[in-house]
Amino acid sequence: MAKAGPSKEITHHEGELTATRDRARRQWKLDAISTGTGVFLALFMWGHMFFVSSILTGERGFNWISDLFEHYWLAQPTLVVVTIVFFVHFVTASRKIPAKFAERRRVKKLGDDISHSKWNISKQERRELDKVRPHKETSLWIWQVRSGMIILALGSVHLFVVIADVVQRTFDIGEGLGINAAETMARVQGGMWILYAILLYAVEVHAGIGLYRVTVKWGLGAKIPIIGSRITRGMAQKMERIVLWFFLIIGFITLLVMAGVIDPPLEFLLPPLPVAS
Amino acid sequence: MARELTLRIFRYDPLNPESKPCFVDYKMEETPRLNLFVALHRVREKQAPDLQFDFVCRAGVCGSCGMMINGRPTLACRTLTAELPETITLAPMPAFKLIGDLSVDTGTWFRGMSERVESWIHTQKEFDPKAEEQRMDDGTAQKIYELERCIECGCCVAGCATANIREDFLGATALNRIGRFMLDPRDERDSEDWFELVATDEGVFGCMGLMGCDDVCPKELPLLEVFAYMRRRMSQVAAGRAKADAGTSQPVIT
Ligand code: HEM
Ligand code: SF4
Ligand code: SF4
Ligand code: FES
Repeated sequence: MAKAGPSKEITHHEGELTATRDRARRQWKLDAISTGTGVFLALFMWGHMFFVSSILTGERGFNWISDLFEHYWLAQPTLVVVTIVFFVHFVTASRKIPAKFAERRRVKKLGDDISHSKWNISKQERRELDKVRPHKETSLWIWQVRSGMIILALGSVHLFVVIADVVQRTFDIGEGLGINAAETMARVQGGMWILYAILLYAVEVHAGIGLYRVTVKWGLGAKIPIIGSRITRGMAQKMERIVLWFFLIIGFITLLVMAGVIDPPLEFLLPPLPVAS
Repeated sequence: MARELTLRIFRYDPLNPESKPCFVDYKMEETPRLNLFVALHRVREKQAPDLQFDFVCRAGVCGSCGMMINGRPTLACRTLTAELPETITLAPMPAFKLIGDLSVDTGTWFRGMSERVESWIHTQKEFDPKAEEQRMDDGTAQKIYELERCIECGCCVAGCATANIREDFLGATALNRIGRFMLDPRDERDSEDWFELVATDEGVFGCMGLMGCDDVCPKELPLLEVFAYMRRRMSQVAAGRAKADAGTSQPVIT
């Protein structure tokens, strides 16, 4: 334990002191890694959404981007890094999940009880109270754990499929098409849309809550550069909601296009090439 | 018309081998502006003379009357029955040793906490009773005062999921106390000393950030802001040390 002042020499042997410091260092590192990998994945997912939604301009845009990425060896290293980060995040973030069922139940019960559910206050008063002291945090966290588990299962499947595609083109195996719009759309229409719809929702919810929690855990009270005001919980919540809906809407439109339910809304930007006769 | 209230109170005397933990209902008529301090005294006067619970100041200052009121840890003396439904469930705060019924031993816990975080100014300076007091700028003094307002009621510990499932967790009030000494320019403990105390799983990196503490603290202390400040400062220390490890003997940021 921290000792300064006169008691330092008396209570600590050198070795003991190093041991507690190393331990603190390790635990700081694990927390920083789970946060860092989480933020990295969330930022990656935004970029990912941006590129996948190129399907909104039609198959040409989508294929152009995937060809570019695979041809210039951008897709391959990214895939390796993201896959590693994905599992590192899973391992480090899961440390925070209580191991025993009774403990998890206790967390939920406390959260439910604290949220005034059994207090005799009017709906309006409750809303007023929520403004100053919102209490959704426990359920947000529980949903973060649940969505994380869904991502682990479905995301692994998705990663496997994509890696298989990219490996085929890179090493010229089989048809060697790589990632391409036709095959992706066929897959989505063949039933994979269920997986992608659930995965999309889980990822956006998980990343949204995650970024909100990172802001609150690390940034609360810090001055925002340029604007000069300090970060508050309300601010972080608002931001999270905007980001969540923005990506959810784009994501679901993209999925609808892939499933062939609607035509690419931005096709006029990149009309399909005339078929050579 | 006055409501008839049911106080559903946890009863258990750990010193009596015949006593079994249970909830007992006590009924009473609600009077205007009735608070739980008065209500519990009425129960003790008229219905259960052996009922144990703690009150001292009845004004939200001493921190003795923390209990679980319909599942939420808060001060009984500051809770009006009008804010509650007709059935009011009262239980002792978890995470502390039960003395009996609604009374828990927060004193021993807080004493241990103070010893663990060494809740006093650490300085090598010789005290000179004749010298003028050391000056402190207003901003710093106010920040420290804000964190000093903790009344040691224990609500933040009872409402903390982490403290509920892990006995070794320092708890919000302890982290707040550490923050108070971190801010104090008279305390000579350096970032390295703080690091090994708070940058652990028992300290701020064990906190799940569920914010139960911040939401129940009856004094509305800015607990989350203190934690965010600690996380940032501890990461600066770790980053500074990484640089030092790499050979550039950069001083650790304080
Ligand atoms: C492999 C599947 C995943 C699992 C099992 C998982 C699980 C978790 C858990 C349990 C937490 C809470 C940690 C805590 O309370 O400190 C968390 C945090 C987080 N996750 Fe994930 N996650 C997964 C994938 C992802 C993905 C794909 C993203 C990006 C979209 C992501 C972004 C985040 C962020 C930003 C945080 C916040 C970090 C923090 O609170 O410190 N996670 N994750
Ligand atoms: S924010 Fe941390 S200290 Fe506060 S209740 Fe949650 S886990 Fe406990
Ligand atoms: S921080 Fe707040 S809830 Fe915790 S002991 Fe102090 S006054 Fe009570
Ligand atoms: S009796 Fe002192 S705080 Fe309630």
